[in-house]
Amino acid sequence: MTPRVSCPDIERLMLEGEDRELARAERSLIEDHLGGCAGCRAFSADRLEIREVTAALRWPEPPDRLVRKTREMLLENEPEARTAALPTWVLAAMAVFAVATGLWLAVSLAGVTPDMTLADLPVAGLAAVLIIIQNALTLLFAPVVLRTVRARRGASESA
Amino acid sequence: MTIFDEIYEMYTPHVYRFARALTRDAGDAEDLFQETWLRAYRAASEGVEPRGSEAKAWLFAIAANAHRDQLRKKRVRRLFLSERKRSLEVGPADADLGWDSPGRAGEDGAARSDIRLCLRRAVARLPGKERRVFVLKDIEGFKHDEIAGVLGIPEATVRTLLHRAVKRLRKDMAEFRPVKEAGPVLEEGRT
Repeated sequence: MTPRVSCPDIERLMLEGEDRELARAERSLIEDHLGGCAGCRAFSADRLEIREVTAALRWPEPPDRLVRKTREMLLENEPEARTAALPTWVLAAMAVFAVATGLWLAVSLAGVTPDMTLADLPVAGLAAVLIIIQNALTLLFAPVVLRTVRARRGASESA
Repeated sequence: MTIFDEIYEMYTPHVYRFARALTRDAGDAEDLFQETWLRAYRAASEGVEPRGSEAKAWLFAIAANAHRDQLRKKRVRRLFLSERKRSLEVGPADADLGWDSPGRAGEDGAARSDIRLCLRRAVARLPGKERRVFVLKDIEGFKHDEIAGVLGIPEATVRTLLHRAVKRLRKDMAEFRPVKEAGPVLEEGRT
């Protein structure tokens, strides 16, 4: 007796058949189901059409300007130039400084309560506020600044 | 010519159209294209340099990750600048992926051209995850396990997303088509 399978299962199986060769039992399951199910026959026909139409579409080519610019950008990013940017000990020192600042803030801010005003805050509290503002500004403006710099660089190169 | 140069020559169009499919915006696609190649170049200069067919999957995985980062940055920026939501993953209804239909003369050619237009619009309207899977499967010709590797999701999820994408495309294409062509999307006798 042929096991009863749902339409979504048959549809998935048909899609799977595009990826691997189905077993004989799976193929006959699909054929049996398609014989009595107009909905799945329509799915199969539509799927075939989608594949055919997709294959006939012409795809966008990258603009020459973009390909050239990207190539130049890659050449500018030679690994030597990047590794020489910051010595490891500087990075390590910055990491230690960041962790130490965090610990200092955590300890110093233990006594801060929600009802305190800015004037009541200890030095560590003000430092924390400044750090938060600085990070927010960096987050806000860095993309804009980077985009502007890139645009200017691109304009000067094309000139 | 280095291996990376060969990869660059070979896969530039593929990476670009994948970027177009991911972002649905020419400007964002160019940013993503550049970011993908920059990351690939850095990885290659650190010794990661796949060959043959692996290179394509490797590049597409980089592009997918870069796109995720691009979306994350946009979300953060939107938090501060109150950018409109539609500039993120959800694009305008008439968004296009930059595809172009080859023209054909005659009535049949016009009908085919309509179907292509329907499909282009329908694919552009697919939700992000489904669009990614559909593009990788039907346009780039990846297998399910390769798509799972590129997108970092289970293979079963790839199959589910593809199934959903095809169902949605059928529905959307039926909406776009003239009534007489809406054709064989009847769901009679379904179990």
